[in-house]
Amino acid sequence: MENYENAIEIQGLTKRFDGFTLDGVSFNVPKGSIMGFIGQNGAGKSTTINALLSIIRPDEGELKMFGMDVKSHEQEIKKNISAVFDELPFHEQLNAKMLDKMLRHIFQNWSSETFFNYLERFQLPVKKKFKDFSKGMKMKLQIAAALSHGAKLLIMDEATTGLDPIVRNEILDIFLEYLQDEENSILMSSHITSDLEKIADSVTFIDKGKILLTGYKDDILASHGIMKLSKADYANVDKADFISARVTDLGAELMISDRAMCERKYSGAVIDPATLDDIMVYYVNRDKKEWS
Amino acid sequence: MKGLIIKEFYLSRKLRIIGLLLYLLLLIFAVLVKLSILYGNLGHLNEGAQKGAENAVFYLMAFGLPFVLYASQFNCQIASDEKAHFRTYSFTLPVTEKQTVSSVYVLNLIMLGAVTVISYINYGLACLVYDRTFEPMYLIYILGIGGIIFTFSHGRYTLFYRFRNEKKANTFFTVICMAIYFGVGGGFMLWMSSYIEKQGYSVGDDLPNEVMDGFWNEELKRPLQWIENNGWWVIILAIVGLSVLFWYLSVLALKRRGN
Repeated sequence: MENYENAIEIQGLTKRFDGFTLDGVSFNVPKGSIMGFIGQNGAGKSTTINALLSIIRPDEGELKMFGMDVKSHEQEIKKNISAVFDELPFHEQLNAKMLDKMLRHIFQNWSSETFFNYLERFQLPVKKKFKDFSKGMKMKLQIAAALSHGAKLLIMDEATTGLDPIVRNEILDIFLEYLQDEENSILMSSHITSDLEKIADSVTFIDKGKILLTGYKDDILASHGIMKLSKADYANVDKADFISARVTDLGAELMISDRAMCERKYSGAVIDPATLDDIMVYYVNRDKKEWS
Repeated sequence: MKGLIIKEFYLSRKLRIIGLLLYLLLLIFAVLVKLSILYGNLGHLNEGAQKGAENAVFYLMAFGLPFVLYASQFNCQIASDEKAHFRTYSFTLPVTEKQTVSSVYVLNLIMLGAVTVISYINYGLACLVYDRTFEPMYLIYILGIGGIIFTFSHGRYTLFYRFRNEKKANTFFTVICMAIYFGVGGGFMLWMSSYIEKQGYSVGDDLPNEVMDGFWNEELKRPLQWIENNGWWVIILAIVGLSVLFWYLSVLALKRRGN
């Protein structure tokens, strides 16, 4: 299992629902890296993750984890992955001690010591029932469970949504620690792009079931920019050179995806760096081309 | 699978304890009735009424209490798994659908064994308290009752796996039970009417006692005797066969992924 290049390989993943289609999604998560999976609500992030985790069956496409086909090596793969969801998936009547007893017999590599160390570090009570846990505590508990069986891949679906910045920072630090081992990888879907800007190595952006962008975060941020123009100058810009434009009474702000080319072609124009948030907003409005 | 059995056990602990407490309450009631017959108000009743009360409580101890125990000890947490988002999470765990369903069956089989042992001891106590002859075949009867409750319970759980919705599954289960009830009842009525007509009477007629006795002796006793002679194996086979079928259908239902 060591000889694989990508922790996750998705090729042409398609799933059709009534009113929504996940359309030929393809991307890779390189081993030892963290990928941010971004997109607005209903874009297809959870569907992609659910297909990857065999929670739903895809209609078409090839899914691989650790270089193995997900369908034919399901059990072997599941021993080495951990999933973290936005909702606690454990029964509220249970407590951490019971959870340890349960998961100890499910995962071969489960370490009660690691689990209780995480609980101590997160200041989580061992005997308190989960129904009395706050949202932050529940998320920390899920992460403690996810990191206690030597998983090589962590898949998180909106795991940091709804958490305050302090807890989020604490959790991001844990992820960075986890990635110290170069065998470990993370796929993290989130709305909170600022978190991903902090820790992600690569980013995949999905919208309306289609992948719009995928690649190294630094490359994406370096190639994109917001070009600020007056209304008169905006009228002379070639529409093919920008993704979409935010036009106000004061002027226009254009999202460009080839900064170097634009700098040459529109010399003198102010081009500000774009954040992942900006990229998301401008790409989502790409069909309108012009918005305010 | 052991982890899933532990989960099932933890989650159903409360229900099982309530069942045990109910059993203990009924046991105390049975002992109080006997004490009352010996020293209390029931002792003032005539012999026939006393015998009637003793009989009722003896059969409650012998068959009613095991029924309560079996019904309370067979559990499945699939509806609660759904509510707690555990079902989705379980798809990410290194466990197969067969193991998930089997964990419920294994725990309930352990409970079937435990309740049968408790019921057998309980029956011995009842015989002692009410001065009855100990019937060793009781073990077969009680296992039969346990087996039927086990099969019915797992039939219901199969619907939980299929519908993934407690209300829907329970509604469907009730409809099936009512269909069985009315089907069996209707079949029995047809059987009886055809016998009555064979005897030269109509269903609405005032029937002489001999006709009903004849129905009992000629028609009804035949299958009962057949069961008594060698039919137990058929019932056991039916229980095992149905349980295996429900297990298989549950695994298939769990393998079906939702949207």
